[in-house]
Amino acid sequence: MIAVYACSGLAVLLLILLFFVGDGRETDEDKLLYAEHDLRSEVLSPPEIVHRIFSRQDRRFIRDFDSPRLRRIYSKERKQIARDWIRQTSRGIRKIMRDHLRSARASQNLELSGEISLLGHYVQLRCLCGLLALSSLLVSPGVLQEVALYACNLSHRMKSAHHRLEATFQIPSPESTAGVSR
Amino acid sequence: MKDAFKPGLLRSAYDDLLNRTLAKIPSEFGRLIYLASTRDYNSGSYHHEGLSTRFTSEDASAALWAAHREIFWRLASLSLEEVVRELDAYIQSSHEQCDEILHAWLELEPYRVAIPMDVDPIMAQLLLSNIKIGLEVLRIRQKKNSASPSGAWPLPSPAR
Repeated sequence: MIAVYACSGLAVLLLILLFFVGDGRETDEDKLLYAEHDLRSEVLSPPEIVHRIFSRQDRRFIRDFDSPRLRRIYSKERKQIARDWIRQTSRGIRKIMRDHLRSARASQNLELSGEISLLGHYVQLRCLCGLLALSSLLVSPGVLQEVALYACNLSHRMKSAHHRLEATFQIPSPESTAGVSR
Repeated sequence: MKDAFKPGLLRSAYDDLLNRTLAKIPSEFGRLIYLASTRDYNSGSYHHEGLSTRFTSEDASAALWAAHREIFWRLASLSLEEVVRELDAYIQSSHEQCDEILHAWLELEPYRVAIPMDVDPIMAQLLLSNIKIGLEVLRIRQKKNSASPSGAWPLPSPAR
């Protein structure tokens, strides 16, 4: 019985760790770089690009050249982009969640199942980002292609779910709120 | 008097740009660099004398912007092997010495200014990184080529 509790505790600890590892905390430089971009356009990269970042085909192409220097450059470049993509995705889903919470707080009709599903997507994505961030330190991005694509598709699903739920929110107008308070 | 900005005219301006100008440029990198060169460094807006005489300057600018983004997207989505092929095609069509271009591009990284504004930073980073790796691949091939007696460049390895 103790072993079961210990394993469960360990699993929960691991999930919490993964949740915070892929946190993608922003440096001041990041904030400057992304602030304007985030306001204007999509914060989540399309799956086609994620497929390329974590491409196995590219890895094989480079491996066929008998050049350690080329392999080193490739590995360094791709790991950097993979890490930046994980941080961008993590930042993107946190922004979606923040926006969603802001709208949900003001709304009078919440669709509970939809909200739980959105939260599920969010927790899953945070853990996946943590897993990807840790794994990218150990293995080549090409090995992580499936997980990265899954995370990418899930992040887009989360974004769509947020927009769908937000469209159904009934947010009281300032006049009606003022009337109630009077 | 020229018509006001209309999607129909923008489409015509875009098609005109594609058929009259871009079709004559043999490689995607050539097109990307050409389109980037029509952009004002200070304002970021696009200008094209020929297009502006046939359409409004707004339509011409919007068509150049759309074409720039379209080609950027196509290049960023390419595999590394295809990027190398495109870079090779660009170098072959430039009438400059291959080693000189490789040296200048590796040293000065002029391709950085060819990225359109307000695109996904990860996409931009991926393309720039692929160009850097692609140039290194071409440098290695050129080295092998100058070392081997036959003048032909080795073909890229077949995709598995």
